Amino acid sequence: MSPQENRAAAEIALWGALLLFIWMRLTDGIVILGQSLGTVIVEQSPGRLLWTYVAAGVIAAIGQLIIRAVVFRKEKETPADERERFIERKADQVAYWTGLGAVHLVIGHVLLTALFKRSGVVALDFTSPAGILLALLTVLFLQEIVRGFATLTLHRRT
Amino acid sequence: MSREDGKVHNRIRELRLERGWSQQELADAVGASRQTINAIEQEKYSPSLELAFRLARAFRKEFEEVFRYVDGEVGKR
Repeated sequence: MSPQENRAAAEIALWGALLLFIWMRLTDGIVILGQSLGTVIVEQSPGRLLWTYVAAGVIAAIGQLIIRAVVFRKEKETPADERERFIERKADQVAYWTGLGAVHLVIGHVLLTALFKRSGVVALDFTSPAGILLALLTVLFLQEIVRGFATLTLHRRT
Repeated sequence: MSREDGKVHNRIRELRLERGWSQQELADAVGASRQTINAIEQEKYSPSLELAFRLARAFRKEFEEVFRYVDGEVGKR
């Protein structure tokens, strides 16, 4: 695997772990490894929400620093050539359209829920502070995961 | 009537094997990665003009002796 593929694989693992982390912190449902995860958003104090947001940011920053430190050494030996830069641009495009699609899904979900809400409990109610945090971080992390998968797939196909 | 995209064919693999070069040796000679040379040989990736000229120069060939453009099929829409 090229350094670019190694970086993509490591980033999928990092962003996937972060996605799992915020869903475990903010939702309730089935229990995995002692943590609950599901479609019911758990309301929390602003302090706890801030802690979750900051913790996710710190984990992301440390993870990125480690990935870049390891990959940077390899990339110095074999720098990205034009095909790898082409793949990177394509993966960026895929990530952009994924983010756009995900944002529209969230908007659609919020509007349809408001229009047709009948019962008291709504699956993934994105209108609360915890819901907004969950929706935005999920879109961001999903974009990065898709970018990684697109990079790996394009290296095999291109 | 519509014209579909054409395709660039190349003789990189043939010329490389004639000279007994490995993909890595050719990659080093033209400043690309081994994976890129492999992708070009398999015609999964069309190189930029700059890289295509560097490849032709590495084989001491004219551009059109290495690369050939085949028009796409012309069909009715």
